[in-house]
Amino acid sequence: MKQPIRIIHSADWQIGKQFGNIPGDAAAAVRLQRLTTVERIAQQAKELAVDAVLVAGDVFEHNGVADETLRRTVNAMSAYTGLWVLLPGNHDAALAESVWSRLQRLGLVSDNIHLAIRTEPIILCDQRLAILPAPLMRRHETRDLTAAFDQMITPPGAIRIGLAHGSVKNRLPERSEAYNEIADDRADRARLDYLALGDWHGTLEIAPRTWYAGTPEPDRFRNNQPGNLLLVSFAETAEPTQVEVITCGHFQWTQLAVTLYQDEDIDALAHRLSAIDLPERQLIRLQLSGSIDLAVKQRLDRVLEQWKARFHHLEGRDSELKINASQADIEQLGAQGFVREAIEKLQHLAAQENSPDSDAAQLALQILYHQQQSLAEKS
Amino acid sequence: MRFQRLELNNFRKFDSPLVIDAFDPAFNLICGDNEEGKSTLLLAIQAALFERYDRGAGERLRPYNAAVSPEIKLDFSLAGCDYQLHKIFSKRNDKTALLSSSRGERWEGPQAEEHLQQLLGFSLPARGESKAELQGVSGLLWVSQTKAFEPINQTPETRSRLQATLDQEIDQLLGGETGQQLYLSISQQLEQYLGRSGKPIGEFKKLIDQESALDQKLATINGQLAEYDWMIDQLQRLQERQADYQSQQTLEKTEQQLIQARTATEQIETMRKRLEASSTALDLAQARLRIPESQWLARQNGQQEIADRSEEISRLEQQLQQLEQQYTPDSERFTALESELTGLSLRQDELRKQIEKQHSAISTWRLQQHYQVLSGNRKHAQTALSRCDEIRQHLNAHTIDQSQIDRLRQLQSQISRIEQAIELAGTLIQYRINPGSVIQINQQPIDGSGELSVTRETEIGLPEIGTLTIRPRGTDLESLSTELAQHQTEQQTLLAALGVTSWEQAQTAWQSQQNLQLELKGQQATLATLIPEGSERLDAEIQRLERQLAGTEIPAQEPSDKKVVDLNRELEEITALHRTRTQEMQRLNQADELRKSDILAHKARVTAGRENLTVLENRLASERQDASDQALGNALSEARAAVEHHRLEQEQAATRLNAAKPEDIELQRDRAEINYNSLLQELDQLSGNIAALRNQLAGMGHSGLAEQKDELAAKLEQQRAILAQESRQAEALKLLHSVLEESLKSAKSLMAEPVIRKMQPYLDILIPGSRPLIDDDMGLQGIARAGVDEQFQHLSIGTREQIAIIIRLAYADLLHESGQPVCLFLDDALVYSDDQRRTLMKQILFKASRNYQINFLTCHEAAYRDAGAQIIRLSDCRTST
Repeated sequence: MKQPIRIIHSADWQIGKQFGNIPGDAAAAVRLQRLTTVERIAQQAKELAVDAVLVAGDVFEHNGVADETLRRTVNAMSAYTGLWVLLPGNHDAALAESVWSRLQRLGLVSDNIHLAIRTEPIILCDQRLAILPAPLMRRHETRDLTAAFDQMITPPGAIRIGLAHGSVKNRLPERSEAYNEIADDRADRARLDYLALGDWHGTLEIAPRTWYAGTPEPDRFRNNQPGNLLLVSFAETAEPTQVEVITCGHFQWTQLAVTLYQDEDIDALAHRLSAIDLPERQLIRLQLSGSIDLAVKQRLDRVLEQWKARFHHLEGRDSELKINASQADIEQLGAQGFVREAIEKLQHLAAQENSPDSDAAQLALQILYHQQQSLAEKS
Repeated sequence: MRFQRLELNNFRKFDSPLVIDAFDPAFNLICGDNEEGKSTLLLAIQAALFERYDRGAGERLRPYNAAVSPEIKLDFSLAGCDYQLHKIFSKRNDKTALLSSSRGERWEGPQAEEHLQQLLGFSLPARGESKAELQGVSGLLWVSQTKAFEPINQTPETRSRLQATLDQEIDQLLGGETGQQLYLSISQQLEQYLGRSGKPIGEFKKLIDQESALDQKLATINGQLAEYDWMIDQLQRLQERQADYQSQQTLEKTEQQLIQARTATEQIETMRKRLEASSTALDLAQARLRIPESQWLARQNGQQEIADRSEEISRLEQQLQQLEQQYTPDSERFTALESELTGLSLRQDELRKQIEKQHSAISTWRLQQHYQVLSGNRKHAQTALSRCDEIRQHLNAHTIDQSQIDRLRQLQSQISRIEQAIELAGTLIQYRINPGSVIQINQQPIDGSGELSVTRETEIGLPEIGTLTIRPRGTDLESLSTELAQHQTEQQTLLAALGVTSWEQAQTAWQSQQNLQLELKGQQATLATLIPEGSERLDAEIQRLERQLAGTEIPAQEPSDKKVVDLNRELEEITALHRTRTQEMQRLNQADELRKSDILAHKARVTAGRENLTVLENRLASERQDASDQALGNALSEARAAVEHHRLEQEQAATRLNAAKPEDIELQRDRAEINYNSLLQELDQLSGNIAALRNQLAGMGHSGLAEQKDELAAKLEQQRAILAQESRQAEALKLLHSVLEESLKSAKSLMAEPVIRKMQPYLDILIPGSRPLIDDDMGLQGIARAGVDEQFQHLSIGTREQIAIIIRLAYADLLHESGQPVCLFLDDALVYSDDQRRTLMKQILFKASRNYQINFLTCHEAAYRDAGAQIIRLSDCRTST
């Protein structure tokens, strides 16, 4: 008869990640938020009074994070005094020298924190719970380390939970890396009650009793349902394992595809942006495409400038957006003589997509347009 | 603008009034000699229009040292209105500025000057005198003396005026005010990014530098991080290696191998000692063998030496016997050679005497020959000396000098000439007297026929008829006759002096004298040859020869040289044969001596050999008494047996040692030693390295290299994004500026077109086939002809002054068409032009003057009289005060 057990399954905290693609203070806030989210996990575990919290790899961004980062992470976990089982992943593999050896050396590993740095069962909760870890001892492993689970002996009646970090073979919706592979039937083969996985940053049941918890705090523009924890409950009876998804993340990373052709499309974009909730927690990337004239471009720039102030971060990627000087733009410029001739030359250059000067010509037209507008406003 | 009338008072060199009453409205040629005041006239008009009347101009413009105020009255028409300007330049009360128009308008004082300024578009000087750049269009179109060939410097004012004529067209080309502002603004924006050389500057450069610095920092951190990762990997490897050693008990196994190798080596060492002992015994036995061996060898050598000596003595004795048998001296040949040599010596002496005698005869013969020649010479010389004396005596008695004969020749010539003249001047009378009749001519009866030249008054008596007197009236017969008589008298006197009676005799005598002089020279030359050193010297030589020949026998005929040659040849042959025989004699003597000495030497060697052999035989006998041959042989056999025994023992020991392969055993031992020591060292090193790496990693991990790297990478990424944006902006601005500049330049080039359009017709007249080069500012750069651009400063000075006038005409045409006041003053502007070009320029100026007034000042009135201009002579314009 199995005893009821509840655990929280999390993974991919990647504490110490810098977010170089986000400029300025916005990145610092995102960086700090990851520690805050760990505090929230601890708080959640405490409130739910779970038996253990399992973190399935990549607790840290790199083995070379500062001691200070290690200390802060442990401090963030301190609200929950129950059992923590931390597994090395590919970012923080248990090498000869690693965050794990440093945590031990620094004396930061308290009794309630178990470092799953050896491939041997960790027996917890009075032998009611057996954690079968598959720690990565190097960054890239070509073997399926979870194969060892098959032969691991656990106390009778203990819940067998596999803890691993890698890519479930042939199951992930996108092509994953060819190393650190995990067999998709490992839960069955190793008679696991649950296989807690890390590496994939979205929350996903990848196989029977096999889950990716995903990163608790989103960290990239990919819509794969990150920002969650999994509350996994093992009943006393032979009832199936219950997995509950608990939202945990603070920031939301959203990528919007926006196609622009005319002034009305700018209105539509503004409308879409205004419909987004909690803008201060939003990191928005606009993937702009289409073709607009100088006047619409100028308006787009103004609209984006306005919205940047409202979101935590807003960026527009316009490599697919064509800017053309329309006849109306030219008329608006009211250019004559040599200026008109110059505009025609720039239009010609801008239209030649293979020309190395095409982009510069396009921007030159915008500058000219903008300059003319400024002069007109001054006059 | 057309000038109509000008009146000057008290202006510079015009201390008396100058009045030009009527300018031609089109073309005026203002003529005056140098220093007559043409340039002053131009200065006066400039002063009237552009100088302030109430400042210091009066003092500058008045006649030198005169306390008067310069005064100018100038009438002109402008835009259909006539104006009268009156100015008195002064700071005193008489200062005046008055402008009135035919429309009844009137301006006084400063207002007059201001209105003039508005009419003509110029600037009054703030201080000092007016300058060309202030004088508006006139500053451009009025050419001062000696300035015509200089480049034309447009002032901003004139450029603006010219451009104003094309205002609308230019404004469109230049994109109006907005276009200029845009260009300026883009230029300013670009200057914030790129310097003039195109290199980044200011904030843009800072961004680039910052990016570079961040990149460098990141590279440093990456390097540290790579080292950190490498150290972790290294630690992993070292730990794994240490674990391998422990799990495989490598150290224990290596130690066991070493112990075994050391035991094997000790066994080898025992065998090697045994071999060394047997080798020592062998060496001792071999040393003992050397004594009997040497004794036995000495005995054998002694016996052999005695045998060798005996054999050598026998051989020497045989050789001596052969030599003695072979020795027989050649006495017959000796005797024959001695006899032959004596005969040869006698013949040599005889031949030498004959040769000497023959030489003496030849010498005497030659002396005799020389003596005879000299005696002949003396005889010839005496003859020549006598002849010379005769000639000299004759010449001394009858001397005619050159002047006398020349004078006689001259007189003879003159007499002949006068006689011919008298003959020609006389009257020729031909007569034929009837037979039987006689007439009288100068009382001389004449009959028959003939002719008679009458050269003086002649009476012809005609019997029964009377007397006919003929008086020739030819040329001065009287004087000719007188002259003839004088010459004849002189001739006779000279002939008498020379001792002859006629000119022919005189010539003969002169010729004879010449011949004698020639002969005298010939005789003197002969003497010089015969007795070059004088007759005394010759006599002395002859006497010397006579003394030598006295008492000597003189051969009857010339002795022959051939006989001497034959005697000499025979002597040489005899001498050579004597030498040959002497050498043969010497060789025979030497051979005989050699044989004798060889026999003696052989005898000595045989004697010595026998003595030596006796010594050796005695020594051997003595040694055999000490030790017989048998005893020496036994001792030698025993010693050889002992050596053989020890050699066998040593070979057995060596075979055993080799079979054990001592080198292999020792190598194995060495290898085991090295393995064990290396392993110990490696294990120690491994432990040390692991400890060191752990310490290092612990230290490095503390600083959080990965976070620093990510932070820097993030900063760099952001920096690069900003820089990319700014670079894009800079590139766009650069392109924009470049395109604008190119278009602006292209537009400006069109501004030159109106000037070219106006200038081309004039240039077609002056230099057909050429075209003007005009820059963006409508300035003249030069001309193009035959496909070559020629810069203004590289043209000839004449062409420069011509096209400098033409461009002014083009400007004037443009200004005139736009209604601007235009008038040209050209002060001696074509001084470097040749006649052909001057003619063409007159045509051009006349053509231009159909549109506006041209005033051409020159000191060459004649050269421009056909220019089609009204001629105004300054000398005609001066009036008395």
